Amino acid sequence: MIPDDEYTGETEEVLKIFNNRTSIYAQERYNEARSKSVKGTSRTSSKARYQPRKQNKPKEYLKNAIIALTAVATIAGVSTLGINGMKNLQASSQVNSELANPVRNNTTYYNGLDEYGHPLWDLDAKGAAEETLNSNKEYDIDTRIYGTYTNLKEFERNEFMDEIMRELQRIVQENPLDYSEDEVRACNHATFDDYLASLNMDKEEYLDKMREIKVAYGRNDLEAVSELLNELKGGAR
Amino acid sequence: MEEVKIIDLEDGSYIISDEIILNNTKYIYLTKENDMMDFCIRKIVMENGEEFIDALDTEEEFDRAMQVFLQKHKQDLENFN
Repeated sequence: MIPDDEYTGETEEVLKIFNNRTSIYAQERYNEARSKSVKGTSRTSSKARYQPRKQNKPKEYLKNAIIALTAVATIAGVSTLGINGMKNLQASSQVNSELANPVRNNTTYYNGLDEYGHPLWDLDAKGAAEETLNSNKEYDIDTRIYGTYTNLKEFERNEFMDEIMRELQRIVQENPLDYSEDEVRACNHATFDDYLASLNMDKEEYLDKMREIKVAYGRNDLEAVSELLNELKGGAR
Repeated sequence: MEEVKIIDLEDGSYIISDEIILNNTKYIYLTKENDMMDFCIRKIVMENGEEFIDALDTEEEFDRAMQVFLQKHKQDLENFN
């Protein structure tokens, strides 16, 4: 299996800013940036012809770079902007770290690199499905499915997710009594598109709603989680 | 995938995360290719009809450029969840 990007890795890099990082760390990075930018203190300040080259990067790479830069400045105390966003980021980071486990624990990396220098990998869809259903039970099943979907690498993400959905469906059909009614209903779909259809949402609407739910979990606001889940499933399931 | 612009400085390759014109000067915000928290700012200067990248003159210029950047992207951070 050859990945075409490192979407998950890049996103996690941004989120890592908020894990085990202090304002002192952010201040150091910010001061480094200032030093590197100004004549006299920069080691790389020689004037050079402006000749940018173009390169393909994972989806949302630029967005993540901007968020990282903004976040470092904000944590460093340079800006009071984005405090709400900071809280959301911190909340998302903690939750995402747990929801990523089914994919993380079932991804195998192999020796060798692809043409882009990325390690070769493969995903055990059956293992990822079992872990999605049987772990992280403190989260509802739709949030666990969302966590698995968004933590898949972008390379053939939809194909892998369809495979995971088929495994989820097989598991709940073979052992319906082992799972809650909500789990059986959520998992009983042959494809991810079928799952989205059961919510009466397109993918963008679904992702927006689930981001809100993830943040609500991160803030431990279970009342908001319940309301948002009702909105997610309202009128559909 | 998305296409990004990259330039090489003496200490490595940087992604051009953004370009902002402030007081008739174009500033480019650079993020180190392998470390998103490693960044710096350069400006574009014209000499004999050609564009060159140059370091900023003062720390105050850096702070001004950062404030404009933060103002522009305030909503990005607010919306990130």
